[in-house]
Amino acid sequence: MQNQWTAFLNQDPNDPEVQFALESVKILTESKNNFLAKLSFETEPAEFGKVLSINNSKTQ
Amino acid sequence: MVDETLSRMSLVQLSAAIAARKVSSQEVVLNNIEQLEKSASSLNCLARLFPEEALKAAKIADKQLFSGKPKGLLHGVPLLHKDMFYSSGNITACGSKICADYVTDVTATALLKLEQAGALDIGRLNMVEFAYGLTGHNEITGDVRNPWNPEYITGGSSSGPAAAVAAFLSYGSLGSDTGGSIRFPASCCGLVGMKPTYGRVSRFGAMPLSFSLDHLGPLTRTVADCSLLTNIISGRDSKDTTSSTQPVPAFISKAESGIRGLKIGVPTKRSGNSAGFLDPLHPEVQREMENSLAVFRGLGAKVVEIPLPESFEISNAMANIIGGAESSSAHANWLKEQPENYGSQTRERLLTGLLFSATDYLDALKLRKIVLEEFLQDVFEQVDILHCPVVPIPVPTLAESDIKANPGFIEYLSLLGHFTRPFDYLGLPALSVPAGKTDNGLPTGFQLIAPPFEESLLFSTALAYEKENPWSFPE
Repeated sequence: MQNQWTAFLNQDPNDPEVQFALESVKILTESKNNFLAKLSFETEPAEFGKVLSINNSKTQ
Repeated sequence: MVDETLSRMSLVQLSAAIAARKVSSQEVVLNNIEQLEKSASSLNCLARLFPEEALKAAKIADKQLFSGKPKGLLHGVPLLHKDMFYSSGNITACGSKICADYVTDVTATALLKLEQAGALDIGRLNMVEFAYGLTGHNEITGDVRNPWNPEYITGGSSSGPAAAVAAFLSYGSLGSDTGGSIRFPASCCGLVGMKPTYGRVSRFGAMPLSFSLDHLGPLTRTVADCSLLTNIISGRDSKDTTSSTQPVPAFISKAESGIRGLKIGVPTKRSGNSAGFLDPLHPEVQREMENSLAVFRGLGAKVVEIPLPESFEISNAMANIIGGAESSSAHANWLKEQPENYGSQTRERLLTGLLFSATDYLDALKLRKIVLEEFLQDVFEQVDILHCPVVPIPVPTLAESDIKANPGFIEYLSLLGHFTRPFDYLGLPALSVPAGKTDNGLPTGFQLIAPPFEESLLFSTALAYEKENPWSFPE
C-alpha cells in the first residue's frame, strides 16, 4: 500500500496502475492545449469569481 | 405504528401543520424515528441517529410554539443530512473508515442556518466514501439501495440522502455536489436536487473534497421544499472565503407568474466535426427529455436549439484536473500514513490526482474564467435557461455498475458525470427535476441551468413544470 503512494508519486514506469492513470491524465491535460492561447499573461484564477458576480450585477 | 400520511407530507406541508399545531414536533419526530427503524436498514441509508437529542429538542420546540415563540419557517421539523456536515462534538464519518471517530468542534454554517430556522438535526445519512464517486457504491459502509427498486443504484455521492428522502425517511436533506453528487442521485431517485451558484451557500463546516468545485444544496421531494431549504441555507458567511455577498431573494416569489415566453435552450446535436454535448444520451433518457420539453412548450415556453461554445468542451476535463489535484492534496497525509483504510476505488482515484502538474492545475483554474465568459455570452444572451439531461443512461443495477465485479462498466463510468460536472466547473446554478421513467421503471431527470445567482428562475420554471406534470413516489 505504501508502495502505491511512492509508485504514483514517482510515476513508476513499471507499475501498470500508474501507467493506466497516466494515460487518463494525458488525455485530460492535452484537451486544454487548444485553449491556452486564450489566457493572457496576467490571468489569475480568482478572476472566475469576479465573472460570476459581475454577470449578476448586470441582470439586476 | 408508523403514520404514513404524516411521513408522506412535504416539508412545506409539515412546517405549516406544526405551525398550526395540527401535529406536534414530538409526534413528528417519534414517527420519523419509528419509520427509520422500520425501513432504513433495508436501504442501508442511515449512518447515525440522535434519538434522545431529537426528542429533547422536539419537546423544547413544542414548548416554544405553545408560548408563541416559533424560531422560523422550519420550526420543529426533523431532518437528516449527508454524513459530511460537521456538528460540534459529534462524529462526522464521511462514509469512511478513516473518519469513523472524527469529531470536530465546529458546526457547519448550513446546519446552523437550518437550526436558526427551527429545524431539528436528528441524524446522518450514508454516502460515498469521502464523496468521491457518482454510482453510490461504498466498499466501507456498504452500498445504499434505491427505494424504487433495491437492486438498483441510488447514484452518489449523496446516496443516503437520496434514498432516505425518496423513501419518506427524511423530509429533505442536505448534500454536496462537486461533480454532480446532488443532481445525479436526485435524478436516480426521482427527487428535486439543487446545486446553487458557487459561493451562494457557505461551505464552512462541510467535509472538503475539492474546494474550487464543492457546492452544498438540498435534495427534496418537491420544488417548493427545495426552494425553501436553499433559501434558508444561502447567504454570506465570513467563515467561507469563497462565500458570495450577493443578496438572497425569496427564490419562489415569482412562482405564480408562469413561464409563458420563457426561452429554453437545448444544446444542439453534433455540429461539424465536433461531438455534440448530447451525443452520449441513451434513447430512453432522450425520450423522457423530449417529453419534458413538450410540457414546457405546452406551458408557453419557447424551446430553441442552441450551440454551446467550443471552449465548453473542456469543462469536464478541467473539472477532473482540479478535482483530482485538490482532493489528493487534501488526502495526502492519510494516503501516506494509512492507505489500507481507504476503499480500493477511492484510493486509486485519489492517487491519480498526484499525477497532475502544478501548471496543469493552474491552467485548469485560469481557463475557468474564459470558459464561463464564453458560455454566458453564447448561451445566456440567447436563452433564459438551459435544459439538458442529468444521467446519460437509465439507472443501472448495483451489480452491473460495480467496477470490481464488472470491469466492463468502466467504459460508462467516465461518462456518468458528462452532464453534471461541467456546471460545477462553471459554478452555475443547476436544478435537477424528475422527468419520467425509463423502461426499467426507474426515474430519470432533466436539469435546468441558469446564469449566476438566478436560482429564482430555476425554481419558478421547475415549479410551473411540476404543477403541470406532478410526480408520485412508490407506495
